[in-house]
Amino acid sequence: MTLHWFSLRKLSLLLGLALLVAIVPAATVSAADGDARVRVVHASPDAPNVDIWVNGSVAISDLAFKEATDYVPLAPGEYQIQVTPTGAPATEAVIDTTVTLEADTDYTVAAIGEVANIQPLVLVDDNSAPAAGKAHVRVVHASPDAPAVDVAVANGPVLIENLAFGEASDYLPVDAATYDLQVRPTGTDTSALDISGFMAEDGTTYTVFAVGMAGDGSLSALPLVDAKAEMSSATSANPSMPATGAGGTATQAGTSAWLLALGALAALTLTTGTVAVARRAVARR
Amino acid sequence: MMQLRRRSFILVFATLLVIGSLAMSFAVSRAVSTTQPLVVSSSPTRTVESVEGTAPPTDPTGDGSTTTSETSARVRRPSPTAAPTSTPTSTPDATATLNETVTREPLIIGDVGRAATARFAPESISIERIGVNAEIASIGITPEGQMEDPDSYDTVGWYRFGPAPGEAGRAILVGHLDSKTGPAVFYRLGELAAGDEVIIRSGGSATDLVYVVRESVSYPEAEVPADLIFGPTDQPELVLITCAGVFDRGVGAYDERRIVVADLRTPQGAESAPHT
Repeated sequence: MTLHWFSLRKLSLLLGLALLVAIVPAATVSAADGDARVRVVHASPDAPNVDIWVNGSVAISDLAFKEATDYVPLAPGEYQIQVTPTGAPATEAVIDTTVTLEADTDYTVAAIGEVANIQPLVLVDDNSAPAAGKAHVRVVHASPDAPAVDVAVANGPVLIENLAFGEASDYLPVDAATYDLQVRPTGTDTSALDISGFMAEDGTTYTVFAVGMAGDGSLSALPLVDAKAEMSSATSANPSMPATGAGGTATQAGTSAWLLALGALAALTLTTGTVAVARRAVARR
Repeated sequence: MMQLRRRSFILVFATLLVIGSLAMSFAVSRAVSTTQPLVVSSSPTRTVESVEGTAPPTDPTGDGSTTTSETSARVRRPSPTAAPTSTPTSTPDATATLNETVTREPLIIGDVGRAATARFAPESISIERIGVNAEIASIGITPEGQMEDPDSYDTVGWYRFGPAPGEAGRAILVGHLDSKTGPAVFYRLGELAAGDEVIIRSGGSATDLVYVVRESVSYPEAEVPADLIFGPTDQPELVLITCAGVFDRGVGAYDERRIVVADLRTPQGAESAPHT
């Protein structure tokens, strides 16, 4: 019983956070064929910064709310993952779990929910390349107090329907373009979160987390780039300067030129007059 | 009598043992259950059964000691090149969950960077000093290799092949000086001077991006320094471009370009740049 209460107290006091992940010997940075890849997202709005331990060592330190790590390659297999408030010892882990990673598979592990109900959300990612001219977009509902939502293009179609907290949508293939997206309570036309100017770029895969609390206005988007196809870097020459004038106000320039001509004429007349006067003066002598 | 006493002693001891282990088992399972991962597969072609939370130590055999070594043997060693001797099964080995008793080799940690986030096109620009309040639309390059000009005389164009406002590098914004009939959105751009503010609203930033003008120079069209426009910079900068000089009616274009460069002002108390 002592262990029981101690554990509970530890959990409730520590409140920490997020979740899982990864590590890899420093010597090997690149992923070998067959490796799994894992990244971690801190999406618990009221949790402190956290450290993520893998097999007893801190793999990722001081991950803050709304931060996500890059993918970390890991050999397939089992890993012990612990999460502690930043700087705390592993014995104070608030999440302590074992995961099995499969070969050639990408995972996103997010800590979601308020600290009191924090939980790991494990997603299997599909980072296969989108078709030419397309992007893939997936949305994750990670706002604990928000209702189920629809995701729609502003003044356009609804793309994703009825996504509840803790759920991830499928990957949506969309044309590469810039979108004004809206996250709306399911079935309504009222936007709870505007994601304006979102650039879905050719060959790129995105996961957009809706994070924060709807109740206090902290609802916001965390749009992660999951994968980006290698584009032939068309580093073409810089463009020449744009044509930014149609001359509609250039009449002023014309006017001044005309005035200038008039002035020159006047000056000439004056000079001529002066010369004439001078001649006259000479003639008088 | 002696035997009976011994028997009852054993009975009591065994009972205490059972109660004790049940309590511990309950405690551990309670503690662990709060960390059960919520697994969602968003890919119809893949399954996620392979990722499980720590299974509570409800191993019916209750024998963690003999399986500990097995578990240790299964733990990946730091050698990332070591191929798995067997494909991990989708059924978690319950014994692998006795974390406290499993000695895993610590892994050496490399630096783990932060994930890149999506890019956002700017939405609007306001320059109080010269009465500008305009929407921003994306522009690209014409087939002739010239930077496009905005479709409308009232909107400002953002060169989408360059950095976006808020990103490191120079974000290029283009506006017309005039239409065929009168002033356009950047007609008064030449009035800007060092210290004037330019405010950009972007979906990628929760707050307005405030830029402060650093310089304003007009160059002959063919002599605008490419570095000034396209050169890389560590900090976010803004380049505003419009026409200037004399309108050549024969060519139908002005002969100069006004280039205004501004630096992003980091708000007080703003979050520092992300880790790299």
